[in-house]
Amino acid sequence: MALSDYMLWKLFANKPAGPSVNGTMAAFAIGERVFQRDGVNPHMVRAVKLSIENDRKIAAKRAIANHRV
Amino acid sequence: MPTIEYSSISDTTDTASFVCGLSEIEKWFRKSALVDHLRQKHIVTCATYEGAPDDIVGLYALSTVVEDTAKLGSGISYFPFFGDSRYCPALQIVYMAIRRDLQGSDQGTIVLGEIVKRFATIGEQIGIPALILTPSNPDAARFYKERGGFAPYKKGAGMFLPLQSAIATLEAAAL
Repeated sequence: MALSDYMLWKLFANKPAGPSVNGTMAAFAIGERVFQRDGVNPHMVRAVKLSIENDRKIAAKRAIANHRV
Repeated sequence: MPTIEYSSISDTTDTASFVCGLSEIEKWFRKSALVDHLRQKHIVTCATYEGAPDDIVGLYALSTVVEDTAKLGSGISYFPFFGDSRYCPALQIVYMAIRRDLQGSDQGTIVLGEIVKRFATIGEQIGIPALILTPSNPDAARFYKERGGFAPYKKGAGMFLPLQSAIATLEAAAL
């Protein structure tokens, strides 16, 4: 049975919401604007620094533990 | 400061004793967190102090979602030729909570720092432009704005952190 023009239109036009190149590029452009306006948050820099230090401590302890046979 | 270890939720995680003061999160953590994690609806990560794996100090649940770009901001042109052009991928903080007695002690900022670090790494690799969340109350919104540098949505109650900010934060922290 042939699909009517309306059914074909529905099939191709009504897609579930999914990410698109245009939408993603627009989000990056908005993000760039927000970043230029707000810059980097010093509290977050400190928190990420602590997180990196934390990772190093864990990695060092694991390396020592693995070395002990 | 004691070392914090992050691990995915498992069937041995003691979810019953975690108290953060928000009944919605406590209820979800006890009843649904493990199922959501196993079904990959959310990725649930628990933070514990080193040497005390049963004592959860905080948790977060992340999920990849599709967000309407028009909610984030305006003034950007769209080219509506290829299907619905307004949507972008995003990493969502679905839940984030810190044990009640540790709230206000910088632990929340540190756990948020871990999330931002993960987002900067993953987002850059696969191209996710924003880390998004919906704050549960005005205090949470203030925390994410002041401590995390999140910007409010143009439309709706959500907030977002651009990938550019997360990468710049990671670079500044690594210096």
